[in-house]
Amino acid sequence: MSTPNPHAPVDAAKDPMKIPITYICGDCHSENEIKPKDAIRCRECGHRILYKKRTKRASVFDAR
Amino acid sequence: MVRIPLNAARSIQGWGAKGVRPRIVVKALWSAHSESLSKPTGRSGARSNRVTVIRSSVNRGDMGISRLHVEERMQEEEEEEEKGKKLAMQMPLPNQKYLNSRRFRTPPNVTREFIDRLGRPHIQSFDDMIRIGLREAVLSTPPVEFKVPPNGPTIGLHLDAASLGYPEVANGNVGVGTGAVAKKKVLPAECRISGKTYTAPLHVSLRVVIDGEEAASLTQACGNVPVMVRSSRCHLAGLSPAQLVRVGEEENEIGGYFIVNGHEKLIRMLVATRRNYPLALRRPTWASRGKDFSDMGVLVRSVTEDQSSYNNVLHFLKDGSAKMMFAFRREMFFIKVGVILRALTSRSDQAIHDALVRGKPKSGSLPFSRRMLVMLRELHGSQDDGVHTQLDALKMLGNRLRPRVQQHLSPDLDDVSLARALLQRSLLPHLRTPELKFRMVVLMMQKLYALASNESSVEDTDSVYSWEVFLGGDIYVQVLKETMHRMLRVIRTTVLTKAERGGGPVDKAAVLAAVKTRPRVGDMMELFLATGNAPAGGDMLVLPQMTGLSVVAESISWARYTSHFEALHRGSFFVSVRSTDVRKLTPDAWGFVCPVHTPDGTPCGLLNHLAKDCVVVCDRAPDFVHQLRAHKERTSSGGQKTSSNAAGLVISKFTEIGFIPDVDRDSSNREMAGYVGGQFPGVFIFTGMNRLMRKVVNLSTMSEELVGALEQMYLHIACSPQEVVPGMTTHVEVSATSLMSSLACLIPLPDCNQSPRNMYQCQMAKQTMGTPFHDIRRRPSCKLYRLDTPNSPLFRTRAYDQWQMDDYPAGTNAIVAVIAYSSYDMEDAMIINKASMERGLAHGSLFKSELVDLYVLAGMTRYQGRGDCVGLRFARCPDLGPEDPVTRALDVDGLPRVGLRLDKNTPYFSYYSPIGDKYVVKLFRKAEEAVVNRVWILSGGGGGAECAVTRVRISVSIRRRPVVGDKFATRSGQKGICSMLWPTEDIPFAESGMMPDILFNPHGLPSRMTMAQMIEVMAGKAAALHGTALDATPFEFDEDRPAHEYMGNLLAKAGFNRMGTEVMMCPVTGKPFESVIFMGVVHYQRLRHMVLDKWQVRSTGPMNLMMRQPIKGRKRGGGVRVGEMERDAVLSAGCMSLMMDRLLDNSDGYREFVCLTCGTLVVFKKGVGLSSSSSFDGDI
Repeated sequence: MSTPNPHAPVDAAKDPMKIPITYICGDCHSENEIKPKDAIRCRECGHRILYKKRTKRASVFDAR
Repeated sequence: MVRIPLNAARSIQGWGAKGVRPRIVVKALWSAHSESLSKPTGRSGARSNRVTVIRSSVNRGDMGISRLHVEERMQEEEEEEEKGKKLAMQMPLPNQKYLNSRRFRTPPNVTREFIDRLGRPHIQSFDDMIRIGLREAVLSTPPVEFKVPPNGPTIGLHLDAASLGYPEVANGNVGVGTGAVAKKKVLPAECRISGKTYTAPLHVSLRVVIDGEEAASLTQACGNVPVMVRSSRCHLAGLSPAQLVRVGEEENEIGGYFIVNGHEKLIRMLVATRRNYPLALRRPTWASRGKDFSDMGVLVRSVTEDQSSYNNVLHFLKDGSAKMMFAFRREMFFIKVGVILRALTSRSDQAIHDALVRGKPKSGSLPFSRRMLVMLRELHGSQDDGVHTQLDALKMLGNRLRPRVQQHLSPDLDDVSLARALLQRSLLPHLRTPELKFRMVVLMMQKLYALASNESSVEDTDSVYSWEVFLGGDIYVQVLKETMHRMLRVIRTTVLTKAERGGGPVDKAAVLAAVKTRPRVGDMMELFLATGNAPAGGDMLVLPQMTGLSVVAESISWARYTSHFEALHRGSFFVSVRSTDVRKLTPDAWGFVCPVHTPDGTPCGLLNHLAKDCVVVCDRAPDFVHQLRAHKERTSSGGQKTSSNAAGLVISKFTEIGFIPDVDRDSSNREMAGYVGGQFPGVFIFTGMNRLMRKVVNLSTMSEELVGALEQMYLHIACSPQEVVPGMTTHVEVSATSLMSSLACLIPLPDCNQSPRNMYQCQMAKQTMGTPFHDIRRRPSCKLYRLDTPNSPLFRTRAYDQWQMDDYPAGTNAIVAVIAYSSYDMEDAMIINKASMERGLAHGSLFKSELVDLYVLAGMTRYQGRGDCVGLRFARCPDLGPEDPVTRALDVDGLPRVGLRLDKNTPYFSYYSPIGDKYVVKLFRKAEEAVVNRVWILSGGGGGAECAVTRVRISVSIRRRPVVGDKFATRSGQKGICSMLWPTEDIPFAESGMMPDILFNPHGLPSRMTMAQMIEVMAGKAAALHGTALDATPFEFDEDRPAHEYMGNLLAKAGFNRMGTEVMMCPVTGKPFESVIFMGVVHYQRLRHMVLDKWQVRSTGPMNLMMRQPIKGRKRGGGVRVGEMERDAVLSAGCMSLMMDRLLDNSDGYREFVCLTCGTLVVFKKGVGLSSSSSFDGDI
């Protein structure tokens, strides 16, 4: 597993409530950091549907 | 099942159906830009006295044109004239230019005609509902009046108005981000993804009247009701395809459906009896309606402005009299027609008699006249209790009917007003004044007695000429009316309950408090659309059926989706009718209902589809009648003498509006003209809504015109310009394929197939994997099939190009060799070349999506508070190491990584549950490998203060390469199962080295007689060789110019055998086969029935507790059950041991003890020896 994982918890001791995850707006495609307590809404355009980004991990599992 | 085969149907253009002989040729044409109608003129020739044409300078069949659009229409007419000129030319031959043009890549700026046509009737009816229907429904909703016991006030609740808003987010929930943009509009795509309902707020104006004085008038919000996509209340209305793509919607959005909880729901079109038109019928059940009743009657389905309908029947009695049936609150009343006539008019008996016999020639009217005289005389009876005046009749009616209707009407009415109110509401309610009602009853009388004396023929409710269409908007407004009235009734109950419990004085404040208790009109409408069930027990509802009103517009393939919008259902009642009459295809359905596109099996002939040039007219045209009447008055005052001996009646949307003079008719002439036995004569002008009309070309103007189904029976319409008979033919079909639906029009050469094969193809096109949508990534249907490697067919109809079906390809061009090569292609099985499959032949994907709402998972409903669930959110447990399977599969947010491969038991998502303070991981439970395709984060889970991620939609894609057991079909209804993926080195090859993709067994052809497929083999090959697409439009080839000869010539030109055969080599011996092989290119469809969704295998597993049999159902791990008949079949083959081994020893065998003495089963407990057999002695 040499591929770095940007989403993996860097520090397990860190409170996961504070790690923001970046989602993409379904309308204006701007990136939104949504903290666990934030409303699900694009900061730029107010759109109510966000997309999860595609993972940067290798997804071809058999080709090792 | 009686369907006319396509080829046969084509030959019955002799029209003028035999049962109903044409007598009066009616041709009512109406032009928008003629200021006044010109004088009615008779046509020359032998039929002059029977032909009446009201004609203006330019003829147009569409009668529903308002003056406002004059300029627009004139422009259209110019265009249409050009169209007429072009008529001689053909539609362009199929070609592949579109695929390579810029148009293919860019969405157009105008909605495509094909798309517009599909949604138009649905959307127009909904828009009409918003403009007029809703207002009319509110006006016709009776107020709820009640008295509070014991001595409280009388309270009246009146509905004054209702208005529908736009789909928007409520103000409190808009939310403003840092970009400070408030996004209020809700678009359908958002509702689809987030599983919401596409709704708009409904506001109702209520008036509260206490003791006759207006106490309050208020506007009350009644929740959100679902609105139709692309209607005038939808944000997508009027957007061009380019604009639609920009806002994230499907390019070719049809609209016309509702979105309920994320699902697309369509109120389907239902057949109704033609409105306000008296139909002469014979129904055996009518004879049992009372003493002396016969089976003859005249039925009128009277439709009011708010589209609610009421039936009135004028029954013929065996003693020669007649009774009128009308219903009040589902209770039927039968009143002597004399009393009705007397109650409707103040005319003298003489005048009534004259009105009844008007238009009848003197020689023929004597018996009728006598009967009418007897009827009128009977009324008077004895001097004291007879009905002599209109007032007498009303008094008698009111007095007699009062006990049965009193409770629903205001208590203050006297007999006369009660009778008036009853007649107003229940007798021909589409007519507002008694005078108009009187004239209509007179017309019904004339028609009834013409039927009884065999002067005119029986009509038929199963024929298209007596049909109109019940549309989504009409049904919607009926249900809305009922729910609004129910709201008033709920308020009444609330007030009364409160008063009963001693909740203080019943005053204005108490009533208003009851009004404010959140009336749930919106929820009820949502429930109605979600289930398709109309609310039960409603008094306001007059619907043809109460269940199955809405269907899901399934998006399996584009063909399936579009055909939902064309479907016309006869009504669920007829499904259970034993007689096949209702399913028959009548000749007058030509051009209106497709003879090919109907399912086989239970819904055959009941679920029909509109022909491609058939339209449902949804305009209201009230002005037309007034103009016509004004015209009539002008002409009669202009000195034209109106003869009392008239040819026929003119009745329109409302009523009879005049007589057409006809002076020279005597009885002998009439006999010759075939007067006796035909349809009741008259000029009938229909201007109402929901009529079926179709486009044809008028030969006298060479422009397109709409004709109705009743009118069509009296027209001579040629199928092609070559078939025009001068002097007789008035019209020509727009195209030879006008009679078929859009799906049937895509079948290649359907005229070369045995007719049921075309029906099968219509069904299979709807099950084909293809391109269901272009916004497939934004359309999270629970299941979507996509063909990954589609091709454009090489042999196709012109309709395919016209409708740009290349946008939604649904098949693969495969090299097919018709050869019986191995025993693996027996019985419709087919062999696929393994290498072809590996190169991508017929590869497909299946998209599944799932809405995960944590509150629902936690068992909360949408109305409950959050309670213990505060803190519920998607999250991954922070304590897991980086190599933990959960960490590898899921992100910190607890959701699967996009692109993750999901096997069985892979972590799917994880959430934090405050109940027990723990992290829960859910595993992926499906056996089939899938890939996470998309994860949508949705709002709406938290709603208020708590806004964590609690609601997501996860979409996965599943690869589906063709495997053994998958189903394929050609476009000629030839379906088969792939029985083997044959190694490419073992497949025969042609001299040129060409290897087939598919081996098709020739035994499938002789019995199915699908010539079109054999022609396609040649045509596809020829098209491929010449680099073009060839024309498969029906009726282009015939015996003099056979298709196979044409294709053969093309093949010969390219240096191939003109029969389409090739010499093939045997891969085993390397020698050529003795026989030449028929080989070419066929457009193959991959059907959605795949073995991976269906396989079922088990050894032991769950069992039915009582029978100890394996349970049913693949989902539950059930097995294939072997019943008695299956057992017999296996036993008859002598396979007892096989049964024992497979079904018992290796599966669900169970040991049971039998008493050797009495033969009963022994039930006993081990060790205890408790037995159920009396003679059990321990010996088993």
